[in-house]
Amino acid sequence: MMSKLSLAVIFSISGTIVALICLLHTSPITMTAFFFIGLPCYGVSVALYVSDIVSKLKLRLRSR
Amino acid sequence: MKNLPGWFFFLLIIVIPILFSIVTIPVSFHRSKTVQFCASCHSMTPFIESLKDPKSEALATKHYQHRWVAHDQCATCHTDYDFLGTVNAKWRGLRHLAVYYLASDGQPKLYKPYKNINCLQCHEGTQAFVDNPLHMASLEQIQKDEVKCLDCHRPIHPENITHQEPKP
Repeated sequence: MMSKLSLAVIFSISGTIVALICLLHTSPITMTAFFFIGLPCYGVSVALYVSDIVSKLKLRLRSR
Repeated sequence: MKNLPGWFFFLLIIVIPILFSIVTIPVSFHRSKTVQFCASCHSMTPFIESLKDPKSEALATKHYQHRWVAHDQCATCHTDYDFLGTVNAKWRGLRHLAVYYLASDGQPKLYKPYKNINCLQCHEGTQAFVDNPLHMASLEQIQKDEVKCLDCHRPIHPENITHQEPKP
């Protein structure tokens, strides 16, 4: 099972690849892909990252 | 992965996506207004070719060839000039995409009647517009879309191109 951080990295890289494709060749398909795949990938990546940070903070607080 | 510093993940997951979004969104919006972008769908080919046809008497062709609209000629006339006009134009673009791939005929068409504001945003107040007594006599009706510019000023695109006018 991959860690949340690893998944966040994968989603972030996926979103960046879609954004790069949209920038290099802006067409209806690549633009739609960026807004409906790229941006959600970024959103999921940030959510996983924040969730990972929160869970680590909770562990630290409990250990004290 | 565990050995990598925290700032690396912050850079990769927060900073880089924000930077790419800040760049990609306005750049793609800007490029989506160009004639080349509209021409990228082959169903638009007859319209794009008609713009370049020197024999065509269509208004869109004349506006394009004489550069009466300097650039982004398709978007300039097909973006409603109200508060969310450009956003609505982008939503219509998405609808075009869905129709293109999902509808049985996949032909481009207007989804609602063409608004006079798209003509008036350039033509209202010009000397030629004001000098025409028909315009001034029905100015209020023109501004309220009760009398359509297209009722008199036709054809916009060549008549032989499939172009269904939506019902009001």
